[in-house]
Amino acid sequence: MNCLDFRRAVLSDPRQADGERLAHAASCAACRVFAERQADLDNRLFDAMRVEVPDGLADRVLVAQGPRRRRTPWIWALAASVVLATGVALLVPPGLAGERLAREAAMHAEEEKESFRARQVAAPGFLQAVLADQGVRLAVSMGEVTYARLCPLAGNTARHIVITTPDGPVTLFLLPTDDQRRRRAEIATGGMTAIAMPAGRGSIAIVAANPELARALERALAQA
Amino acid sequence: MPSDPASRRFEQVVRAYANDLFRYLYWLCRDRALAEDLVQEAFARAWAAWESQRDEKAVKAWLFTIARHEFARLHERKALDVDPEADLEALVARGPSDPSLALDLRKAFALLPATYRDPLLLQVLAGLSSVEIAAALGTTEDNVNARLSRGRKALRALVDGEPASAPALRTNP
Ligand SMILES: [Zn+2]
Ligand SMILES: [Zn+2]
Repeated sequence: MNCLDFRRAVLSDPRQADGERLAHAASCAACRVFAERQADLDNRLFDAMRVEVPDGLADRVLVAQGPRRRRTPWIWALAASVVLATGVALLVPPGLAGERLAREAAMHAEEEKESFRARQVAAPGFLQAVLADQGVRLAVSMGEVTYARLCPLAGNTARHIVITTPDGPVTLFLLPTDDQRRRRAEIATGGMTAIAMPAGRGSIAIVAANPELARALERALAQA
Repeated sequence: MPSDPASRRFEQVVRAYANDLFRYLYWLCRDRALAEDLVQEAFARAWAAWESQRDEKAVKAWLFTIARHEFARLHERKALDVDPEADLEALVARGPSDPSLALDLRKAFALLPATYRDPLLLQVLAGLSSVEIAAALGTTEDNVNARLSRGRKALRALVDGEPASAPALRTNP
């Protein structure tokens, strides 16, 4: 092995050191230094590549994908137990509680801009499964789920879902552990329409660019 | 909690690889929200094909290949890296001329054309072999090794302000 071959081998993989390479490094000080510097650069490169990962990533994957999707997600059971433990029972008139949820849902959807850019098409049956979890059924298909994530909303863990319909995106928030009996409320804010309503177990909020689209999804959500 | 073996194994794999898949996808798309969506999508596909994946040792390479495919699907219509060679030459020529421009490694790595960044991530971050990388990228092992070498030379030039060519070689027996 000559110096050129040695350096080429080091540059393509500094960690592999077979007999030939070790022999060359032992007899050639310049190449030994070259290999050491390259190994050092690779160590720093490894650190540079390890960017910070969002908290709870694996948990979110397990809630959204795979076998757990068909069960009651443990994270919601956990959220429910936290609510019970803290005994949060706000004495807010139901009408106001509905309006508050609608308002927070509209703000949340507006702020989470990536939810409209995402093209994460959910597995078939995903929406029906999470709705069934909450005791709700979707009577007609509105379109494809292109975003699904767990988000904090109005003091609950909500499933933040975007359905891309032929008339544009519509955002759906499922709050299966919401223990406030929210009366239906519809508000218009910042060019959006938001509807909050009780649904099966918990509450649902819908946000869309116009009242027609929001109400179309509301109608499609029949109680199971 | 999942109790059947397939579900348990899937959970183990998610916990083992979700973070590095996120990092890999982040460096491909440079967008944290999109990287997380792509991780979700990759695991959705992995779970859908779970039964067909028999080789335990190959799980990691398989997952990175799926993740890469998910990223590529997004960019089908965009012509990425029209001429990566020209990009790299221009980059390196510009980088080191002024020593004060010496870049930290993270910035330098971000500047590399994707065609060099990708195999470096699969080797250094994911720990895949050249053979596995070649399979993931749909190319030959020689091509992978060439890209890895050129990528490392360019990084060295950007970080240290050294010329991209190797230091003069002494002829050695
Ligand atoms: Zn040598
Ligand atoms: Zn959200």
